[in-house]
Amino acid sequence: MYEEISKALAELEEDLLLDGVKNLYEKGVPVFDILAALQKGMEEVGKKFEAKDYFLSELIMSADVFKEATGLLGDAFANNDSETLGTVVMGTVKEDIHDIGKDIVVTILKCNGFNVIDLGVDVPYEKFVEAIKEHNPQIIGLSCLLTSAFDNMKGTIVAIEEAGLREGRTILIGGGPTDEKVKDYVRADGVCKNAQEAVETCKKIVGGN
Amino acid sequence: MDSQVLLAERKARLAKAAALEKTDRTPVVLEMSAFSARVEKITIAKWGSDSLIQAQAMINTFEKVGGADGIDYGSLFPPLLSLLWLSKVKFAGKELPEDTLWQVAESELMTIEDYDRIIAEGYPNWMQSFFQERIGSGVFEQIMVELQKAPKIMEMWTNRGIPVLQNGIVTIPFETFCGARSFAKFVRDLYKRPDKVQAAMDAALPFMAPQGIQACKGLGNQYIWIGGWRAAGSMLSQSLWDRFVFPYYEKLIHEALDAGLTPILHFDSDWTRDLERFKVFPKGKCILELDGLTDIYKAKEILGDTMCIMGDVAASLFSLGTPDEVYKYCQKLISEIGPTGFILHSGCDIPIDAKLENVQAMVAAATGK
Repeated sequence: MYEEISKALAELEEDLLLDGVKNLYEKGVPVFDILAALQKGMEEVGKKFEAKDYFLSELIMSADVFKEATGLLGDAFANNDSETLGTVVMGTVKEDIHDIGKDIVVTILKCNGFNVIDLGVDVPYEKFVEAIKEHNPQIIGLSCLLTSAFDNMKGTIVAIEEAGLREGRTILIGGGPTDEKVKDYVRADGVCKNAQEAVETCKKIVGGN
Repeated sequence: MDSQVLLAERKARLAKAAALEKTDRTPVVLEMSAFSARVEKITIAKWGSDSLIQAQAMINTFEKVGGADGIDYGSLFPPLLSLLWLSKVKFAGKELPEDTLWQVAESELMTIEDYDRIIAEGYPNWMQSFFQERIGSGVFEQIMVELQKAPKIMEMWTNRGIPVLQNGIVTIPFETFCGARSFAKFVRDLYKRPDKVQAAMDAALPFMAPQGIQACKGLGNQYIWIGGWRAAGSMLSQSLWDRFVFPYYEKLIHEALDAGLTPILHFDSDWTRDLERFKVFPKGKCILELDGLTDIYKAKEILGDTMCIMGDVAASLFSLGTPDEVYKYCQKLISEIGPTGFILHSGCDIPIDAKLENVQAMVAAATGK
């Protein structure tokens, strides 16, 4: 049954998935086990993305179906205290209000088992610093769509360093104009080209810690 | 050189490149907007307030760069972006600080019920009321007033011997609906109510190109932009793309060709997967303009015999690179994508914070000066 729901999610078979999850939940199967099966389904989605069988549209749909499935678990899901893969603090940097790409990455990371603290858009340096102090993330994700926000990306990283919070954490950047050159300029640790690459990179980081 | 002689020479060079004919050198075209405000030291709020101010700043900047063969558009009134994506736009001096770039604030302005309204009321009626109700009253009228300045702007550019490639940006219903619904919601619609979305797209399609074509023809442009952003193959599965994207581009491209215009396929993001599909268009009649995310080498390999390739100096290279880096990248493009059937160009817009000397380096790579 676990395999069936993993497969249903991987194939984006919504009705089959929701029936399967409902069934398991009503039988008293622990929420942790159901979530593990769902996350296995998300892993399959990721593999299909890497194989170019799936594209961004399927990543979005899989997250949507995942949300519906976890919605069936009600409070049991919300109160599930099972361990996450790791914590990511993420936001679009100061003076940039673009949220589409960032929101997609946040959603896909959550579906893949990460605890994501989404700070929103136009995020001041101090807000990143406070969130890092509060949530102690392994990973910090900075997004922008404007080239004019590169300096604020850099400024955010400087503020994190000046607060003594960089060590032991990985700072990733993403968004339309970001590339290796921008990564070097803002002195980030990595650049992710798309949501799935963000998932894979984050998994490697927490796996290596 | 006399400005009209220069204009004719530049136009001829561009036309030959578009037709895949040999040119004396690779042409180079600038696409810029807010960059000219920075060069001319005008605040973005002031620059954005009037198309004539934009045009003058752009002409001055074009001349400071020196030596390019044309400009994609002669001005860019930022509220126009609301027409393209049916989204609200935040402006400098209003919702944003005085000297900040405008930003499209995409949100779910269009609801699922709007698909029915488009089908029932017709796209033009629906669009007018959508603008009034959800973008803001008076925005549409403001855009229309500003568009009246287009003949004067064309005159300003041509008097300086600079070809303006187009005065019309058209796109497929996918792009417009996607902006109005917001990306993630629209993708769900494609999965959950595909027939309804397709019916609304079909209702909208006949109204996507005529105004842009009319504007370009009326103002004497040889080209028209047919834009693609979220409709790129990297965003969508093959089956969705085949159904909701390509047939609509096919229709728009033929409409433009039938009107005697050369479509510039301004395609941002990664279109590599579907390049092969564009081989169906007549040889030397379209230009494919890429922003650095599509593999331009693959584009040349697949489409080099069909259409001229234009691109693709990255925004980050203009902002953060050195003139030497830009020059070397452009020379590589000229030798490997060109010299025939290639127009050197930025990947999309030259960014606001590009270094002037980097833009000059791009032009120098083409002109040898």
